[in-house]
Amino acid sequence: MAQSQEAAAGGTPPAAIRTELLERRYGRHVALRGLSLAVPRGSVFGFLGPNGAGKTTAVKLLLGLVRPTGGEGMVLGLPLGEPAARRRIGYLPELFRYQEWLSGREVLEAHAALAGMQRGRRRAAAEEALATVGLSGEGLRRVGAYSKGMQQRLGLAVALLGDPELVVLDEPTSALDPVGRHDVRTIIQDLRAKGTTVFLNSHLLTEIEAVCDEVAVLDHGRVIAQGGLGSLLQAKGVDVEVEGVSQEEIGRLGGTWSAPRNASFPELAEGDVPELVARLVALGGRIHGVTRRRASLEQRFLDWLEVR
Amino acid sequence: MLEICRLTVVESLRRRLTLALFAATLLLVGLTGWAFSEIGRLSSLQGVERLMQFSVLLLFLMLLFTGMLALTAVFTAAAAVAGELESGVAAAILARPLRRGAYLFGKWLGLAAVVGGFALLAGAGELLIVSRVAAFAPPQPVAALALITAQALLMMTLSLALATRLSAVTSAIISTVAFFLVWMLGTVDLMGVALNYPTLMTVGEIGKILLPTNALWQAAEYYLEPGSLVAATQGLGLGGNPFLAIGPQPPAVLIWAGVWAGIVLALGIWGVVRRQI
Repeated sequence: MAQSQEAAAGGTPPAAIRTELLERRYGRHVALRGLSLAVPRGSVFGFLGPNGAGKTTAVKLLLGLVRPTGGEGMVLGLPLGEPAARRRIGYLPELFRYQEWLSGREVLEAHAALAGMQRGRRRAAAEEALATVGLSGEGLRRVGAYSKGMQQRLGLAVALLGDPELVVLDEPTSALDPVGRHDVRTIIQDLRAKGTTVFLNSHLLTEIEAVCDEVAVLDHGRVIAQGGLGSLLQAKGVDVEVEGVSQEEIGRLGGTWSAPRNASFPELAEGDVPELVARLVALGGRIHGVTRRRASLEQRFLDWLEVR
Repeated sequence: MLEICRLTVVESLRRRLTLALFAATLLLVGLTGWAFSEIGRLSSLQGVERLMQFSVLLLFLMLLFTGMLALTAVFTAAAAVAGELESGVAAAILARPLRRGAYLFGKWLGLAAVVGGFALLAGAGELLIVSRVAAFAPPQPVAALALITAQALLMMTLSLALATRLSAVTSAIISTVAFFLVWMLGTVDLMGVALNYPTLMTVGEIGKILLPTNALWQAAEYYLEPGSLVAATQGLGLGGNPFLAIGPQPPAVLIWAGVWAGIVLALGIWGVVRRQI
């Protein structure tokens, strides 16, 4: 699992996060069992699951805040808990609490110092992070006077400070209003555009669906589904907006009329779509649109939890 | 580590702890000056008896002062460490490239600056006001202050180490009980000396090993007494008096105090390293 082995095997850069059978027990209680993950660099990775699934335990293991009782893992090419890796990671904890007796800017400057940033760069980096999360002009106020939403924005600023290679966000919008949630989505998309890896821990499915490239679903400390969001949400069947073809001909191709001009082909596999379109055109049909069916993440999520 | 130290000192300033300690210093010094002034004015004693009177009064006040310092040290340290670990503030800090040992040692340094600063400032203020008001100056005030400050730092270290695994209240209470228990064992030791009863002396020695705060106090006590008083009482069989140290503590006591602090701090570091944040 060493960096060199990965590079030699595939010629591709190592994953930002890779874990093998990572486990955390508290006495008899197993908080996380056998977590095996590979988070590609530059991706937005969604880590979802119901409350108590072990998501936050997994995040703390990745950051070295909790020691594993089994398995192993690498973050940014270094073993879990290695301080050198944490220099390149930004983290927003689920329970975001910052020194309420400091101003927002002072909190950021302190984190910049702890991250090893040069003294001369700290003020500018703090101001930049405040601006990114929409707290410009609030930097001199004491954190104790911030609303909960502002404190979560500050936590996000702490995580973004100094352009980390990996940003770990644990329930980043739990205290935010819809505008704040939209802002966070925009920030995550900007991070992806810059090539930053984002590990997004959330049980808000719409949030995950809106921004993530890949997801892993955790339940009772175990991964129950993992993969690209597109493939995970993909469902059989297409809907075709077509005219000039009779109901019988649609029926012979395995479809039914679901609405005027709309034919449904519920059993059609993804690879058969070009063939279907060609046959409809050959029958004299005029096609206005073809829509591949896609399940919602919520529906898929509920399916996965039932399967467990 | 230095950033954690700086933050700890800033916290004590922003939370007005240093202001409260400064106000306590003024109050202490003022009351001490008033007490010595009144007793000096009302007392008719002269010579060694007057010296004895001032010495006992100073030792009594300084003994209370060490108790106050101990309470200040344990509650300050417990709140600073357990409060941060329990609230979640530490989770964000320890996710930075900072070793947990450096985090705790930074806390220790910051707290030592605050608690030690208070001990030195208030203690020096007390001794200065006494020398000015009653013309009574201890022979080795610097050594005595250093030992009293060291005693406060030992208590701070104990509380800080406990707070890495226990709540702030529990850590502070255990430390406080330990402090007064060892104080009581010190008194038992003195009784053993007075009665020449080895079992009591052994109990006292065990107390010194478990927590050498009272031993440091007894060392400080000797440096606060005028040499002429010690010489005048030699051979009078006054051993066992809690307000009269008839000799210095052996160097081994001071060495053990330093080693003890190192061991307890190391245990605290082990506690925070093993802790699941």
